[in-house]
Amino acid sequence: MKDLNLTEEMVLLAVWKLNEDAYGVKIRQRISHETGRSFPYGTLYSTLEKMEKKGFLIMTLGDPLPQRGGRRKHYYSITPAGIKALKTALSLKKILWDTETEKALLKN
Amino acid sequence: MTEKNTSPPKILQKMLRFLVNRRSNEAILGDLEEEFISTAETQGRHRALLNYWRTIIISIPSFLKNQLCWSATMFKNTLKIVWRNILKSPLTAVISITGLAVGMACFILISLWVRDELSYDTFLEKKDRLYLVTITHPNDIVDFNVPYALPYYLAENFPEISQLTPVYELGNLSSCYLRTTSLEGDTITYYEKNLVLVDPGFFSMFSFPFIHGQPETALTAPNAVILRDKAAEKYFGKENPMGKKLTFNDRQDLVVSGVVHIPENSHIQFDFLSPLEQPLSEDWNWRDQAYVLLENNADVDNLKEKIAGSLNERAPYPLPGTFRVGLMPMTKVHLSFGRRIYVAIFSLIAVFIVAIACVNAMNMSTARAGGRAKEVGLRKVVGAYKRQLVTQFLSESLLTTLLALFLSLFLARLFLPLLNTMSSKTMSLLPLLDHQLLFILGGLTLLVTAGSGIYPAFILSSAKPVNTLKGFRPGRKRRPFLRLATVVGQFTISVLLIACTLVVFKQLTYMRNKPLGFTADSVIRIPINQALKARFLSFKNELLQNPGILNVTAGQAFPFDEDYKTGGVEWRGKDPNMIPNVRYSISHFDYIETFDMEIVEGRSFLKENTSDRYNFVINEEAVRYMGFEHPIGQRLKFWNQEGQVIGVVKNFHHVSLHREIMPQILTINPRFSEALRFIFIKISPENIPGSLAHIQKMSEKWAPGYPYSFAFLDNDLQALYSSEKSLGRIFSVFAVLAIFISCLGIFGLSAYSAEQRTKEIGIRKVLGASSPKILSLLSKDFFLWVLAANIIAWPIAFWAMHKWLQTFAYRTVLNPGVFFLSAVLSFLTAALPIGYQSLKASSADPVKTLKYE
Repeated sequence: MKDLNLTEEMVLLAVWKLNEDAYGVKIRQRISHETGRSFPYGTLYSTLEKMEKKGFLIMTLGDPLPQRGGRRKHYYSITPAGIKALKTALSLKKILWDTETEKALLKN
Repeated sequence: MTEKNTSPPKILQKMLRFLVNRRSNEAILGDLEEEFISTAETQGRHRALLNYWRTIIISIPSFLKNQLCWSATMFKNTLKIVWRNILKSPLTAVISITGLAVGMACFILISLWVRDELSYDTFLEKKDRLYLVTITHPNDIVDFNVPYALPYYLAENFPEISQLTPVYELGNLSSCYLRTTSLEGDTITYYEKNLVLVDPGFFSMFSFPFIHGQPETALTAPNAVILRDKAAEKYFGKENPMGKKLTFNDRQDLVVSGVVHIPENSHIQFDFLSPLEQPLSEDWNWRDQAYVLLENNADVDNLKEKIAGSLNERAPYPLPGTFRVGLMPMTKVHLSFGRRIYVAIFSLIAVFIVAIACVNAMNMSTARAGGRAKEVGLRKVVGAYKRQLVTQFLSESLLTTLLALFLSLFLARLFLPLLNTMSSKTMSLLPLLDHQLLFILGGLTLLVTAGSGIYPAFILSSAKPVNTLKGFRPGRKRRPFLRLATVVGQFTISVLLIACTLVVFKQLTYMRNKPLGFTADSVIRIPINQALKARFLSFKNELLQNPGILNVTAGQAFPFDEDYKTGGVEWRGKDPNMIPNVRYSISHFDYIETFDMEIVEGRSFLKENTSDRYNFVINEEAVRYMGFEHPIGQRLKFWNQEGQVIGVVKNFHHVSLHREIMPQILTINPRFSEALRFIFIKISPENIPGSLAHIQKMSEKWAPGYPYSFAFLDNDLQALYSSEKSLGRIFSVFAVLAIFISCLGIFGLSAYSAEQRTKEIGIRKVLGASSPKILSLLSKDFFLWVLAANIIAWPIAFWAMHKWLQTFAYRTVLNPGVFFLSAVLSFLTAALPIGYQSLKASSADPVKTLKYE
């Protein structure tokens, strides 16, 4: 399986952290809150769709709301495969960033 | 706050929806709206709008990328389908693509021609304020030649006119030659015809581009001369001619003060231009053109009204009737030389040709559409939307059209030199990059695409898959009528063009064969000079001793030269208030003989008879005009020289056949010998080079130091009719092409209909039908259509050609033969393709055709 890229990792993590309340606005807010990066919605949704295709996320439709111009929310929730992919990403990072490497890099 | 104010503007939402074209599009819009509202509450509406706009803008690149990817995929598919269709029926494809390509090539070429015609004088900066002064005669003929003093009078009395210039054509009045000495000391001399004198302000009216010199100061010195670039090269080669000396007729030294370039699309053409020494404000001689420049915001209509009567008010001589002075916009002058009608005709042909090509392509694709119904059905079953099918069909026909367009550009490039030769223009394909023509070309492509693609696109794609898969053909009921209309329409255009081509040819033949009343064959002209004029008789006698030289004379003009008209003729019985309009010809003895004119009454001028120098010969029209019952012996006064009429010459055509023959008087009075411009020499058709060499030797002997040049009068005569001829030829080429394209279409259509009935024909043959019977079965309909087309086209052709022939004073008759012939020709053009296809179908072996599936 291909490894997650950084954007995918951030999006998956955000969805997981948001738990029940993961939809466009919130996911974007969360990411920009934590990392200071703000994605355009195009990027966000294309990533979400890709994750959904890969089976890391599941989408459910919310109710239409007036403050959204009568449009539905797309709620996302993470699947076990998604969790597994996150874990793989984490362990991969840990292997790469062992303590010596970190210390050596920070010294520079 | 109302709902309207809190949500983002509808238009922006729509834009975004258009740009963001993905599955989660609704969610994105919802998210954005939610965010918009919260931003608007916390940071204000402007901030929210700004954010929204930013989203729109950043989504454009990815939108474009998506769009391209998607189209590329679809394009590949469409390409494949088009290619397969071409392979499936190569004949049909070749026919429709060739037809389209030839049609579009014609369209491109004609557009270039029309564009060139319309571009005349548009390069002038003040073109909107420049006007030609015209005079409308009582018989409604519009005259571009006006009295010299008229524009001065107008400028003096009407403040709207800021500047004026007459164009005094010196070269037409007397023989002129210019001489210069080169750096090496050689004398360079040429006779020149296009010398004009103008007002010193000429170049502040006409912005001809200067190569050397300053437009403001070029004409200030009285002895200044401005050269056209070609003339400058002739005299001075590559050197800078500024300040160089040119001697005019060995009398006056002119100093070159400028070199200008005169574009081909300028109706004012000159080689040499000098300032008038003084205004011609008292000269009411009526000869050349004059132009005026109006003030910036002059009211032209009002001015026209005010000046209309000025000639009648002011002319120092009484005028017969009302002569209306008018103004013609500079840019309209070229087209008014009878060319507007050609521009209209050619544009119409361009439209016709494109229409025929379109109809062909449409018929072809419609005919084939039946065969593709199954494909459509299957596509629909698999899940294609109607919109996708429409797009597919339209992009298919767009592709075919683009292919044809490409081919047509190639064809246009190939045939442009030919068109240039025929029309004596120097056009290039470059203007195609011009936004105007690019626009037309784009429009043409879209039109052809729509024309050839809309029918299959909408009719086929709306068919129900169940029906098409079961073998039902959509639109079958409507098709015959549509095809009938288009085919008959196409044939109508063909018949129309055939009839018009025939009439044009007939008129051209008529013009070629019409006895002009004189012969210009093997007559050469050499310009006269002072030396030859002084010793003309000796020169003539010595020339005549050579057996190759048949006759020698001198004259102001050749018989078909431009008009030398006068009002200064008096005769007994003339209404004293009438100012006659009579053409005059000043010549030497033997003019009538040299040109082989026929004397119908009386005699020609005789050398022996000294009193003949005051006598006149007039033409038949003059006899009628002056109302003489017995013309011989009548007294006549021409420019106060009195004499009697000794002979009547048969009418001869002194202008192109567009115009009527004028009353004319011929005189050999030596008092007017200053006006002589040419020596005319009739040589025998044998040993022409020898005679020419002899003439040159003689003229160098009698006029040493003068330049020598000669020209054949046949060439001048040809030039008189060349524009008519070349336009007629261009017309027929395009007409033939149009007929060719329509033939192609008929060929394809009959091939298709024969193919459709392959099985039917097979069964008929098995059951005992003979080949001729099948032949008639297949071609009967077509011939009915051609007949209908003929009946529709005849009256239109008659009307159009009648109108066209009206522009000739002397014209061929429009007889039924032309229409009969065009009917026969149209049947032939239809019979060829149809006959071929039907014959092929009817002679096919039924065993094979019935096996076919």
